[in-house]
Amino acid sequence: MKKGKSQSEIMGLLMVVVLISVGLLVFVSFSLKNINEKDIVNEYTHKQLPVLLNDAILETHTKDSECYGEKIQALMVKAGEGNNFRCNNKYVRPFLKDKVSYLLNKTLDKWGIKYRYFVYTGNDPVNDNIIEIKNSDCKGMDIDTEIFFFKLESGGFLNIKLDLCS
Amino acid sequence: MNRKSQIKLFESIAVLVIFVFLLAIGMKFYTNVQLGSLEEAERKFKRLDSLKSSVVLSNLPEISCSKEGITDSNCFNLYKIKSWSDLIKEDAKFTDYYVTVLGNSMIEIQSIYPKEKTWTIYNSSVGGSYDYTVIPITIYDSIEDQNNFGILKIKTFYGKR
Repeated sequence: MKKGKSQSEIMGLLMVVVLISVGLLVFVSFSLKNINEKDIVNEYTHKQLPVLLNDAILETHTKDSECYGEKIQALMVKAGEGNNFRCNNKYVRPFLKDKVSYLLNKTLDKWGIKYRYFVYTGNDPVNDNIIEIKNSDCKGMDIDTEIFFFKLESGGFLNIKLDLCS
Repeated sequence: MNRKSQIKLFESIAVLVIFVFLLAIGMKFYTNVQLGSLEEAERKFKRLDSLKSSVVLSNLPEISCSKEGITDSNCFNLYKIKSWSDLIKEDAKFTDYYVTVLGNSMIEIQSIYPKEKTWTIYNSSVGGSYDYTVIPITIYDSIEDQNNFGILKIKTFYGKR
């Protein structure tokens, strides 16, 4: 009689252990599922956005009244060549900084995205830049980068780098 | 002996009631989790739909820029957009076709620089909640031979017609 009671108690304990194990298994499988699932939309947006934005900025023409209807890309190259080309009353570098700032303000700033934008001719975007626009230092953040580069007539390359930070 | 059996029976029933109660709580929790993940999945699919619409739209030969037969995927021709938009508004046959391609959405093109203007080029909204996708684009004005900087805004609605 005593032996039978012990056996049922052990069976009960075993059932409790099995139930707890199943519960834990369900919990762990849910957690792993959430980690492994990648958000395709976020991935696509973060990889594509700097490419599309940089491309759209460079392809844009200026107003005739502001800089003779020149394309921003052509003005960037002029700025990289270091010549003193003027857009009406402004040198090309400050003019470009104003225009690109305006476009980034209407897009990334408005959408609450942190970024750094550099136009540079050497190897270091921070120290060799001719234009720098940013709304964050991006320290300790994940950065998605897109670099466009153009060959300069004077030799070397003009690099246009857009970092999106999250 | 009879009383002892009654106590044992009562004990068994109590254990059974507690077990069913725990099972019900577990089921409720599981259902809530499943509902939450289903809603999340629906949201993800809608966002994916919105993104798909933007990719489809960027590559529609009806409205994209092309030179010598080569299509530029991130560029929209301003006059093609206007004609296409008018055609959809006027002819139900075209509207029905594009609903199958672009779904229940509202698509706007906003020119930011040098010209500032917004066009609603497609509107098949059904109201209710929606998801929003914005993509930087180039808008080509073929008469002035000028590229404008703009954004493509796609609102994809969750409701059904």
